[in-house]
Amino acid sequence: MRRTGPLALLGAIAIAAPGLAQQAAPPAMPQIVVPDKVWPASGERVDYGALARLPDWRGIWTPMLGAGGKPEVPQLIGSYKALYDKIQGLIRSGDPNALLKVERRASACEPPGMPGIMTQPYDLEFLFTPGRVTIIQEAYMQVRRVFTDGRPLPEDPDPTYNGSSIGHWEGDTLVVTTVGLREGGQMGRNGVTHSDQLKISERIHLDARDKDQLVVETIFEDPKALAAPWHTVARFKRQRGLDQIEFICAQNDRNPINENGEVQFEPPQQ
Amino acid sequence: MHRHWMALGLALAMAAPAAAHHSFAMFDMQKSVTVTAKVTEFRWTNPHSFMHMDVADAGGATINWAIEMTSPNNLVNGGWRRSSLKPGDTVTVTYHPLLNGKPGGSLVKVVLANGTVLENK
Repeated sequence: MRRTGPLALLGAIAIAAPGLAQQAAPPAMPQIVVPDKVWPASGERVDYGALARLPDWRGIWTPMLGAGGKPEVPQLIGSYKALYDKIQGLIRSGDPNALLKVERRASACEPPGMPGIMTQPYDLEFLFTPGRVTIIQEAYMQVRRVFTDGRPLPEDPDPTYNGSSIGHWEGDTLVVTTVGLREGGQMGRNGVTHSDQLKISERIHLDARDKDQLVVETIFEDPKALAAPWHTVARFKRQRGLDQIEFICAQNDRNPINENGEVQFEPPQQ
Repeated sequence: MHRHWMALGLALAMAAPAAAHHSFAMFDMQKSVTVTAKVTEFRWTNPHSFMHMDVADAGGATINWAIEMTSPNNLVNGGWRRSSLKPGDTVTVTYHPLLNGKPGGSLVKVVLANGTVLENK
């Protein structure tokens, strides 16, 4: 489907101010809005039969928090290390409000984006359709799209919370590469942030000894924020009797952020 | 049932609950207070369910408290329902109080009049 909204808007501007349109060539459209492109996953013919050869990841996957083993410490550099050291110092200071001061978000309902979407204390669901894997996170009802139809990564993506992800299957392992993430986004807890150059590589597969455990092995590479690749492992347990439950964060958000960036706790609203 | 091990794994890993919405830093997680209270409202909502309750302070005045719990998504697996608490119910409530001294806290558990224990995890 064409995205006529922005195009119509551009047209309106061109008509209202023809001089502007003649002065400069418009910038190249980002990859996601190339109007005449047909991605294989959206093509007229797709191979549903190929789905039968994929591993069985049905059900709901609940996080086994802490089951990934002792976490590796990221080797942060530059301003990312300085921020980490500052926050760690704040936490060590004994200030009872230290962790509140660490939470710097516009809203407590702001979802984490990648990689936090994969490590929320809520469950994941995987959907396989031709040329694509869709990952649904119960918390905030977040959606990740991993395109497995052979398309390349976008060359100049607009930075987003979940970034742009492509993947391919190596046997029963889904190999995912993600780029296009926001500068300063959270890469880990308590002060581990990344640049807009972050590349995340994931290998997602069932545990060879337990088909009801899913393993997500992640490698973070960031030339601006990391001196060396950082590795993490997360595990999930399959639940066959569970469905995801709706999660609308705005329904009763009682934790606004004040002018100092600190999380508040609102009293009963009459 | 199925989500309880999450809380257990977490306790082992970092001795603090995992947070999707906000951290638990605003509460004194080392301190638990138990009171008898009368429920005034129960909100079965995301990102957090809340109970509001009237509690008599030391001087005999009635103070309305806001007690936060996790989401319905997690509570439902611990036996909670949207009908678990009703205005007028007299219950025994254990919570971690706010550090700033205001009448709010993070729920540990509620004991209903019939003895049923509902935990916040």
